[in-house]
Amino acid sequence: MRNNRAEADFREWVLQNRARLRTTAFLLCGDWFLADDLVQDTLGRLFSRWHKVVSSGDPSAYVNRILHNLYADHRRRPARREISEAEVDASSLTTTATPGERDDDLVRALLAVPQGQRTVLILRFFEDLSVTQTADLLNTSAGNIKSQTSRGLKALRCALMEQQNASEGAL
Amino acid sequence: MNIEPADDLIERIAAVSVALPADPLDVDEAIHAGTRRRQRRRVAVTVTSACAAVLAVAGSVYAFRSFYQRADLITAGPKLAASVVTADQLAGRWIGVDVNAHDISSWRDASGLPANIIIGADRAADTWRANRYCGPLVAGTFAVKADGSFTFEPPAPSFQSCPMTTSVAPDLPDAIARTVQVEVDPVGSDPRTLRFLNGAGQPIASWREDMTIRSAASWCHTAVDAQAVYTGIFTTVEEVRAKAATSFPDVPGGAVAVYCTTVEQSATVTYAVTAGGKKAKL
Repeated sequence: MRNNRAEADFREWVLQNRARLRTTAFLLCGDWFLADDLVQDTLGRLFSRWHKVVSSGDPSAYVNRILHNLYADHRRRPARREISEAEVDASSLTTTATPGERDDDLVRALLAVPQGQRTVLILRFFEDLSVTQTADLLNTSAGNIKSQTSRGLKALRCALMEQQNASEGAL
Repeated sequence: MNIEPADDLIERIAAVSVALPADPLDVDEAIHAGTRRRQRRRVAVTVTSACAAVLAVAGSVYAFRSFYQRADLITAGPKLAASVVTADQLAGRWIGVDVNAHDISSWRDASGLPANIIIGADRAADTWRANRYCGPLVAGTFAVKADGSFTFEPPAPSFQSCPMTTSVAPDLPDAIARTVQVEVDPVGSDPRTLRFLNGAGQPIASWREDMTIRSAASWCHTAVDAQAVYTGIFTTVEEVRAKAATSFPDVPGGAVAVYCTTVEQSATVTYAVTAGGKKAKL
């Protein structure tokens, strides 16, 4: 009975959060196939600790941690890293049709930001975590998160400007 | 030239909108994976505690004896895996892991399904179906010979026009056609791995068992009613559509469905139900 209830709660939570989870994963890695694999693994791990996670509050923080750790593990594997970086250029953006040109530009610019800074930007602003929460999740200091945020925003602005220059040059 | 202030950039990141492609997430699989993970953790804790207790109480003689007994069990593993395989052991859906030494685990067809082979659908134990990038499933039969070797009967080659894609679709029918021997993990070692080998015993393809069908009984309960019974027969959405054309309009044809029966107004009624909880009355 308890398990059925847990399953039902878990399904409901996934239903409400799957789109956001997939988007976060995609913004982290820039590849839909990998993003969906990461989210699938994340959900498995989340369910294995569902009772504990739910009793300690909102599962989102735990999920962000698993997702980030799984992606970090993936990047540490040289063969897989090579595949995913190749896919960022070729397939992922073609399969990502964003609704507005403005968002499309932003996604492309975000994917051009160095990985560490991009992760911080996504966690801070897309996932709306505080500096302390982000530092805790990434196991680093608050000062480092602040500097990564600043550098990330600068890199993002540069990437957007480069896109803008390229599109003006094309015209 | 526009230079956006940081606050504007932050707002844009917070509100970024991305059109999501077809959702391949499988919640049932996540629940199974999570359950298995939890059980493994419990077993590990139990085994560790038991070993510590044994070592503490019984001393080194018992510890060495248990070590040798365990070693015997481990060496028995490959013998079990290499034992004679029956068609029934292969029944189910198998997700592609690699083909011709290429990792295909992240490949998806046009409908978002992973590369997979379905064996024994509709209780036809000697049939297989496999997906390709688009279009209907490819189907064929296979035979188990007395010596344990396998002969797969591939279908006649057919051209299927598909939209342009940047990834090369794995040629599952070709892999199946070249297979002369099959190895499968023994029942109980979930999720099992199925290996296709060529005549020299070299690997052609490997597959991971899709565990979702094992919870088919709960699909029936969720989608139909608490009294609904899983008939033990699984099929594909394509096959269901062949019987009832308007069934599952927004579910990929290669998705798995199961048959459930229930009693409605004193009559036995059969439904086809998918893992996503969609049902079609037959």
